[in-house]
Amino acid sequence: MSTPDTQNKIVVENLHKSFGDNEVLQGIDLVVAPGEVVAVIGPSGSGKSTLLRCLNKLEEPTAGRVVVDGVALTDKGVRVDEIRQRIGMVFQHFNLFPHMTVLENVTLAPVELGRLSKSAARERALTLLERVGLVEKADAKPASLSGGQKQRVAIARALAMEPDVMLFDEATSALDPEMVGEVLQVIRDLAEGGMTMVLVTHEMGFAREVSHRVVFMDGGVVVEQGPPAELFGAPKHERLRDFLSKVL
Amino acid sequence: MARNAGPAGACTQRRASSTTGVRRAAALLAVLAMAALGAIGLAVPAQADAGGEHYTIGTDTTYAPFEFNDGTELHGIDIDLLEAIAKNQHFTITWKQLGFDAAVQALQADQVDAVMAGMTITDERKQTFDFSDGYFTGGIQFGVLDGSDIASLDDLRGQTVAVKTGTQGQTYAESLQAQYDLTVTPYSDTTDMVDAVKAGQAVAYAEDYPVVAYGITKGSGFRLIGEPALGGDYGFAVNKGQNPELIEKFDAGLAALKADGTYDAIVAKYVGTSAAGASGAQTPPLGHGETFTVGTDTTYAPFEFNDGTTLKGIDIDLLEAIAKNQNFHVTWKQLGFDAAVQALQANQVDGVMAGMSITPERQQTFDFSNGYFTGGIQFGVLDGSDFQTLDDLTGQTVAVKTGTQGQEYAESLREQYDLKVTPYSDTTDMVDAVKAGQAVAYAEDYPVLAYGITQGSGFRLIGKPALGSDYGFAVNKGQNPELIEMFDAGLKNLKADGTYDAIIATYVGAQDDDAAAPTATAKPSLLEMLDQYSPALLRGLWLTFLATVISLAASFVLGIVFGFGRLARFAPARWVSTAYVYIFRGTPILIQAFFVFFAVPQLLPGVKFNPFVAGAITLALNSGAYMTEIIRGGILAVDPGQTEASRSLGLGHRKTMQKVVLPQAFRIMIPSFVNQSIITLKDTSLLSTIGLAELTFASRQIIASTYQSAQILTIVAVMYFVVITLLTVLADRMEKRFTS
Repeated sequence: MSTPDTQNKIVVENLHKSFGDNEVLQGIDLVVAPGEVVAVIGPSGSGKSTLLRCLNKLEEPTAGRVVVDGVALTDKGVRVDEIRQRIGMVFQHFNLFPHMTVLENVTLAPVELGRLSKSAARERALTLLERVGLVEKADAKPASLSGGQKQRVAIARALAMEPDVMLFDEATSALDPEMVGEVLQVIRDLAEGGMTMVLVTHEMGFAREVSHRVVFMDGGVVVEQGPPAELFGAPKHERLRDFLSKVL
Repeated sequence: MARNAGPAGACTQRRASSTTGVRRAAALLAVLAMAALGAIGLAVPAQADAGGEHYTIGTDTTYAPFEFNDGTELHGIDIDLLEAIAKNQHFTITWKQLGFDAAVQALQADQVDAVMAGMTITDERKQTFDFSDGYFTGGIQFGVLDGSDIASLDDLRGQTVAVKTGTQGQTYAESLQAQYDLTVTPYSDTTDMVDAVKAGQAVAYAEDYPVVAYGITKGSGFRLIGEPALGGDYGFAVNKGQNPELIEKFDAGLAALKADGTYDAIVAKYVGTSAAGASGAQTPPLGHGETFTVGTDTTYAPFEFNDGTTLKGIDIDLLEAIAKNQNFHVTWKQLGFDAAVQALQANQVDGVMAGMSITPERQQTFDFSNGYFTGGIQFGVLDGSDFQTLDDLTGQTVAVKTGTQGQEYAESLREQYDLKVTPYSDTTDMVDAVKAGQAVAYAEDYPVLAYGITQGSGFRLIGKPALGSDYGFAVNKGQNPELIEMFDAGLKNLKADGTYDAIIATYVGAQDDDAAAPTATAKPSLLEMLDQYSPALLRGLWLTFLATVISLAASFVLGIVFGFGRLARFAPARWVSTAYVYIFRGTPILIQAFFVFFAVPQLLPGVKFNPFVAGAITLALNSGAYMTEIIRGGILAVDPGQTEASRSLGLGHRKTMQKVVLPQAFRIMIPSFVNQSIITLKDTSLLSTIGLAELTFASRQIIASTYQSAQILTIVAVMYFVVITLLTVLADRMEKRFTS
């Protein structure tokens, strides 16, 4: 609250979200600095994914404020499509467009939104695909890709809009174990490149390795947060200890 | 409809179209039943002379405006008239409302003393009953909308008139067809016929004029034009030789009521002030020579019909043989039955040879030859069945055509043989019912039956012709007596030398008195049928195709509009779209078709559709409701994650729909589109009911004239199957192209 919005990439203040009678988020405060990588962990149903989806307004907050890049998404009349162009999102189930080729998936948004010409979009897409190691799959349909490949394409698709912030919603949960590594490597590269990221994850080892800060949620509130070494090494709250004992 | 047996110019006796037979028989029962019942309950003080007699009278249940129940009380011309006569003649009566046929039967069984039930005085009935003077002259007349400009038959020129299939009204309208260039559209029941006029599909309808007139007094919104035709006198009946004093009193009373204006008042009360009067025949002088011009009907197989090019039939062959025998010549005028009779009266032809029943009414206007053929109703059974006599029909179901003499005949036998009588709305259905085993026999004019048999209908006649009458050759009364003489002499010669039998056998098989057993010619093969009727069927198929394509295109647009409407955020759009779907999915398509065709023109004056347009609108609206749900369902079936992914990239709602959701939804919808297209194509067959001449309609027309239902239905089923299969294959290819 006292922090000026402009100094942080993301500011969440007293965020509430209810589905009917079920209050999933019960007053969340969170700040993410530029270049910061924040991992959100917690048991199922704790509200992690809902929090993430409120950050680009895929969910409409019931109350509270969300500010991204100095723009309050929760204000009335805000042009949400414009802000979303600056926030990339990667989904658990990839959500690639099955009727398009890999290349078309990646070029769709920049071309349709008038950011780039077709050829420029194609060039950028190929660069991004190169970065995620899939340039040879440019003309393939998503159906012919493995889960790990699909998720890497989804990341490239999100990056094509050159976002300031990337949101990962359990990006590796739907993958076979042998494919988790290749996706995490891409995310690791992004982190090293200074991308501001919020990751909802079950990969505790990865969260510990790649994030600057870990946020533990339970029951719709942030129970504890801090540097990974602290949080995993010396958990203060009983609920966190209990959670870690189950997942580690 | 008509219970009036044909007078001059009428053909009631021959076509399967009058109610006379059954009514005649059943009425007897009814009257008798009453006499018995009446006799028990009477404690009427008897007076010494004629003054206080009491009679039980049988009548019909409902034949407005002659007798009908107005909630509690019995009303009508018959009722009021006889009660006025009773008062005038000092006797009392008890009514027994038995139904026409039951009343007649009751009279025969002495259970009632008399019948007063709109009963036409006919020659046949006179053999069993004594009649009063005629107290009303019935007949067919045209009803037009009161607000229309049509004032006379001339105004009908070039117009469409509605008739009820198989009635005297149809016979009358068709008799005027050539003269007035009429389009005659038959409907299967009165409601449809009347609605057709209200909806502007036709400008007039033909109906018993008292029925029309009564409707008018009840605010039907119609008006009568022209003069009653095919009319007969209604009489009050007692058993032959019994109660002569009752007839005397009736006639005396009727005369008195006519004199003092009571009669007119009663009739006017029910049918308004319509003057009922058939114009008499003119008898101007006429010369004659070697060649006679003879009028005949257009199509009344096997008596006269066109075999593609030449006129043939029993009447034709017989008169030509007689002409040859008697050394005169015949020029045929194929005018239609009633037109022929009218042409005779107008001396435009010298004689009429057209399966014309000899009736006393007609004998007042025409001189007839000796009867050359005896018609009548008979039962047809499947050739392969065991039924040999009427007794074999005991406890069985027989099929009849609604409102025909066949129905009357079957119903007159109902009690005696414990028959179940199932009426069908047209000949095709009736015949098919027997073929399909729904009934074991059907009742029909026996020459028609017999002719069908020779054409391979696969039936056999049982029993004897009933309700029959003799057909005669007619000339104007007192004119051309030498023509009648020549006819009778020639007929005698032909009968003697076997020519007569040969002619009859050509058309209805070998004919003898106890068992008419026409022999069937070989059934035409499927290929022959296909060869002969494929042009007509292909024309029907073309209309089926056209109706399907047009309505599918329109329904697709409707589906898109309302499909998105169903998903709209704007609530009224959702309500309207949902209402549309519920209405058209929640009512039968047949009702929708009737509504568009019959009701819409009444609700929205000036809006009127031909059957094709009405049919296409109906199909489009109906199919559109399903398309709406297909499109809505297809959109909802796309994984919501697709929308989320697209929106998270910053693409708007519109772009997301266009680029991401709809391409996927369309693929999901394709099988449902194909399915709905096939349903719509098949639904076109329902539009035959509003007169759209598509494939099913065409097939039924052909079956009606050929009796080859199994073959035609096979051909039609194969045509539908081939077209739908082709459509499916095409759709499969399209689907593969889209999904690859």
